[in-house]
This record gives sequence, C-alpha cells and structure tokens, in this order.
Amino acid sequence: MLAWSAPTAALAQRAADLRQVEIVSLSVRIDASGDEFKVIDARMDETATAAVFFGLVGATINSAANAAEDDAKADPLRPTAAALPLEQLIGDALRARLASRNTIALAASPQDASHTLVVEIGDWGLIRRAQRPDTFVRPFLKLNLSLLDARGRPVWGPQREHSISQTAAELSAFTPETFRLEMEALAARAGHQVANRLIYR
Amino acid sequence: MLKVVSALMLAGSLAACATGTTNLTLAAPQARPGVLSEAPATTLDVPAIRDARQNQTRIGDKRNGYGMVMGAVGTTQPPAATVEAAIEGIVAANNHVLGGESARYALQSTLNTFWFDYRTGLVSVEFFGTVNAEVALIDRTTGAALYTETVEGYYSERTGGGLSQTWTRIMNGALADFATKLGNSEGLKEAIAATHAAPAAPAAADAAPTS
Repeated sequence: MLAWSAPTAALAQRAADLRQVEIVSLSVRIDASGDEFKVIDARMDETATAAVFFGLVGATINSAANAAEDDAKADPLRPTAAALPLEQLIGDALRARLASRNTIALAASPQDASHTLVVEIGDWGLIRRAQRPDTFVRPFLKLNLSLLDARGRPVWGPQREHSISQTAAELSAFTPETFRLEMEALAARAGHQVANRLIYR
Repeated sequence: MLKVVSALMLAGSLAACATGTTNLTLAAPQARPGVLSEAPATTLDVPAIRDARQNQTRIGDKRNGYGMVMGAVGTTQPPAATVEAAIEGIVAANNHVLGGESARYALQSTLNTFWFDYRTGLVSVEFFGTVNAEVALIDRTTGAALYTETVEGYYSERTGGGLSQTWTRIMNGALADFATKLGNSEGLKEAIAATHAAPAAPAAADAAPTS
C-alpha cells in the first residue's frame, strides 16, 4: 500500500486553466534543444494519392520527396537560421514584458521561484500561407508552454503557442537579411504573447 | 441473429458518420480582459465579417485510413458569425463599447481560414483547428485603415480518437486562442489609444518653408 501511494503523492495537481495556479514568483526557462528550422511548402500539398496507389511504402517515399524538396528550399537560409539567437530573443521579450507590468514577480534565481515557466521551441521557419494557388510563405514559430512548481512537477500545460508573422511574400523575397529581421521581430512578439497570457490569465 | 443485426447497425452508423456531413455547434468563447483593456474606452462597431475562405461549404474533411475524403465537417452557424461574436465579446470584455453603424471607428474583419483537421498516427490522432482573420481598425470619417493585423488562433490535442464532441472542443479551442490573441494585441491597443491622442497643432503659416 505504501509502495503504491508514495509515487501518487508525489504527483502535483495539474490545472486545466492557468488562472487556477497562484504564481508568487516566476523563473523562465527557454528550451531550444528540440527546435527545428523548416521550410514547409511542398509538404503542405501532401495528399493520400501515393498511399492509395502504393500503400505505406508509396506514402513514405512521397513524403520523403516532399521533405527533400522543402529542405532544398531551406538551404539558402540555413546559415542565417543557425545564427539566430531565438532562445535569447524570446526570453528577453518575455521577461521584459513581465517586468513592465509587474503583476508577476520574476525570481532572482530558479531556486527562489514558486514556479518555472518552460518554453520549448519547436518547429520554426517559413510556412506557406494557405493551400495553392497561394504561393506566399510567412515566418512561423511554434512553442510549447508548461508550468512547473517549485519541486519541478508540471502543474499546467503543455500548451501550444503558435505565432505567425504579419509579412507574407514569395519564398524568393526572403533574403537572409529580410528573413533574419522578420524572425527576430516574430520571436520578440511571441515572447510578448506568452507574457501577456500569464499577465491576463 | 441479434448479433448480426447489431453488427449491421454499428457498421451502418459508422458509415453514416464517415460519409455524411457532421455539423458542429460552436460557441464564441467567454472573453476575458487582455492588453486591449489598457487602451482608453472607445466605441467600436464590429460590422459583419467578410468570409474569404477558399471553401465556404465546410470547415473540414472526414477522411478514411488512406486519407481519401469521405464526408464533410460543417457548422450549424456560419463560421463568420461565430468569429464576429468572438470579436464583439473581446471588445466588451476589454471595457470598450460596442457601437453601431454610426460609430466613427470599426473593427472590420476578413475571415481567411476556419479549418478543422487531423493527422492519424499509429496509436493516436492529433486533431487541430485554425481560425485566421485579418482585423482592421477603420476610421469611418476618412475610410482609412489605422491598423491591420492578421490574427491566427490555433488549438490541437493528441488523443486516442474522437468524434463530433472532440471536434467541437478543438474548434472552440481555436476560437478561444483567436480571441485571446486579439485581446492581447499590443498593436491594436496602441492604435485604439492613438484615436484618443490630441490632434497635432496645425503648423503656423509663417513657419512654412519658403523658396
């Protein structure tokens, strides 16, 4: 009985709504270990035709071909993408926005925090705006948010936070410089969005 | 015999479910105050939303295991009306006043995407919904768009499976995310606040450059 109840007691109550969590002081951790820069263009047109005619193998080959086509489109922007400090841009914007409103205290160190907001960076890059015939792409950024208590137990989340840029254009219009500027602006905007979700929870 | 009839009825109900149109009854989210509440109270009209979706007959497809479209997912109310209600809710929840056609400022929107979809994995299904609209703050005295923003709400869940109840939850989640993002728009807040700024004093005639 003891062996059964011990791990159960260690589990924290996970809140469905962020409002149910009383945050006294917050630490922010940005996790970029799983981030992946992508161009999503050909992959958006993926249909079931290959699967219908050639089964799972056909679908896999078709999917790989689309991914390879998109990878080739991403290649010119890869050096710029690799140099973008997304982690820092998101974290700085998030902390600055929280500090400006002063409704949630930022902890001096993670050890002092009642809660830790974990922001995991997922896929990001350029995605086609809509189905064809639209050929414009726009920068996008996917984040996964979760909140841990002082003992590191998840109390809220994971929740996905998707951000898109206001700028859409043909892929060729995204030079390394314009792409860098757009992604920097989007990362800062995403950081503000996350902070605003906490402030106005 | 009973088993055969039961099996036939189950197969029939599943086939109908997969091939017909399932209409979801969606609800505008309960709006909460956000960044827009930081702007001074302003009277804003929310006129009917222009529906610019590529396919206006459905909000999603029902596909079989091979991905072939078998049926449609629709809504009992036009999606534009639900999004309009969501925007009205955000205006009111942020201490602004819903005005009529005579209001000087309007939040004019174009609905671009209202789509439910899913990806089937080996042991789970990921459902996701997207609501995307361009929202513009219009000054009706000049017809000028003072601010324009594309707002996209997104919601996803990975579960073992689900039917209309799950699909409704997904689309309501996307609507809620759309409303939250609009309510937390810093650009729109600044544009609304700017409508209260005192107009700049006209330049004195003798200050004009002369050639």
